[in-house]
Amino acid sequence: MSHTTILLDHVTLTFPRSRIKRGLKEGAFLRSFGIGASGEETFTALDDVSLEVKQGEVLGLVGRNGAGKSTLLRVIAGIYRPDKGVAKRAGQVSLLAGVGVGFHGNMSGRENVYLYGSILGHSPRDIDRMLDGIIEFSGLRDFIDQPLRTYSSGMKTRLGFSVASAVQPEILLIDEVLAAGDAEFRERSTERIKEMVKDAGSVLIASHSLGTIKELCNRAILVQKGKIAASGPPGEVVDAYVPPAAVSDEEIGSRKSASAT
Amino acid sequence: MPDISHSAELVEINAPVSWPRGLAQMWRNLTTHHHLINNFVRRDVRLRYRDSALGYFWSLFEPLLLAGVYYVLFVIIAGKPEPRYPLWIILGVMTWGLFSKSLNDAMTCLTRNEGMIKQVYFPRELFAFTSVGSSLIITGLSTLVAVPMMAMYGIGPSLGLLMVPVGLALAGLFGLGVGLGLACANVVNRDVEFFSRFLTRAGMFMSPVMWTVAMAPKTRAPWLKYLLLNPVAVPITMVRSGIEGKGLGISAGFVTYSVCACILSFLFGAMIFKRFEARVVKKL
Repeated sequence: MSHTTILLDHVTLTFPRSRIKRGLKEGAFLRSFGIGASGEETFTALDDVSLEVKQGEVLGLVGRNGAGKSTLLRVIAGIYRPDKGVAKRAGQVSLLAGVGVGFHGNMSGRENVYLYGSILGHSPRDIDRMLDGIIEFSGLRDFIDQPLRTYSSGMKTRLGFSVASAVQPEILLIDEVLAAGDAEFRERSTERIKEMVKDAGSVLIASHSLGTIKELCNRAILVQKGKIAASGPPGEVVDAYVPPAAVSDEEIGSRKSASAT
Repeated sequence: MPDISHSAELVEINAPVSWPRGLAQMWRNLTTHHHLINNFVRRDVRLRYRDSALGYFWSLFEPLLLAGVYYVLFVIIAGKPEPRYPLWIILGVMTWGLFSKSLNDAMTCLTRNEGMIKQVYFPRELFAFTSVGSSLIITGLSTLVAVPMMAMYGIGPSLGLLMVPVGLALAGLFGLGVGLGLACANVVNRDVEFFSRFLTRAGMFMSPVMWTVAMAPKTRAPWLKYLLLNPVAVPITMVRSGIEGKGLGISAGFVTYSVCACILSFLFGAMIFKRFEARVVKKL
């Protein structure tokens, strides 16, 4: 009886690789609007991707940085429109990514909950109802009426995650938010995601944490250079994917420096 | 398990829309997201003067100070103007400022919010509507500065005051429309932004901001016609005559032209925006 909730049919999406060239030579100005010969360099983020996700599936996306995992999730969320092919979905969607976008430093934590909640599409009445749970989960009750600029970056992430994860969408898209906050909060947020995964209609998780994929998902795909290179049980796909050592070192480095700031 | 039986049908995500369908979609988005609009406008208005001791009074002082500068300049260049001239400048500067800020905010609504657009989906036209909405509210509050000046000049309140919000709304609508129409082009090429910024600056001198339509010498009437082709001229004059409680002094034909130009530019701008918006996001 499980029906299809997400259907990608030969989806291709290319990004312009370079910003426009400066100057008026050779009609660069007109060309930037697509008038005249196009010499624009492009980068194919999704290359003829077809994918079907059914109700009840928890699909893991593995692959290197820049392979197209995030872009795939953003096409499903409705942020990017495919250049070719068709993307369809059934049901409302929620993308957990860039937690806390739209947060404003000069407003209190509580006001930001309402602001961020309305960005995610909730009415003030819905947020009234969820507010207590959100504050409780974030563990920031003592700070909730302080302006957000007095929060540490970890506290902001906690608040953002608490708001973003307070709803129960039919289609849940998770993009690398599992590593947020301190160890204790990280554990709790992983628990929360597991709960959401259990209750949601369909879930897509893009993560570099291969253990998480193995644990949470019942299917996985390997994304490589914008194509789906492998699909199957998470164990097999994860084992088939060997993250290049150089890349993962670099990643650890960049993540460290990011958390240090 | 959430009940998804009601939405089990597969629907194309971000399907391309025809020109008129885009308009209908925009209207639907505005009504379904009124909470978000509300929140954004409130945030903008409340935060604009946060951390300043004078706060909201800046929206009164700023046009006052500016008018002072223009007044001095005018006296130096053209000699003694009519006594109510400072009031006319203030209202002109405020209405023109509303137009140019609306245009600029709407035009940059995609480029300014790149971070949010890439992380969360909601209808992107809301960025433009909310910033124009908050500018309208702030300008509306600024017009209160006219109240003491009306008392000073002995101008009593009249029914004409109803023209003030109409004029402001038209100026904001025109800016919103032109800005929406240019927003997608501006993502592709930022030259659009620089060029239109120049145009709004130059346009200020071509509009009755530092002068009034009544001040234009009658001997140059043929020129006046061309100046009234500027759709912002009528809204500015509406705000002024509304305060003064007098007629517009502009022929009905030009008034109709200007109102239609504001409304049509909004409709076309909105259609252009909805047509291209989904396609240009990847170029951000």
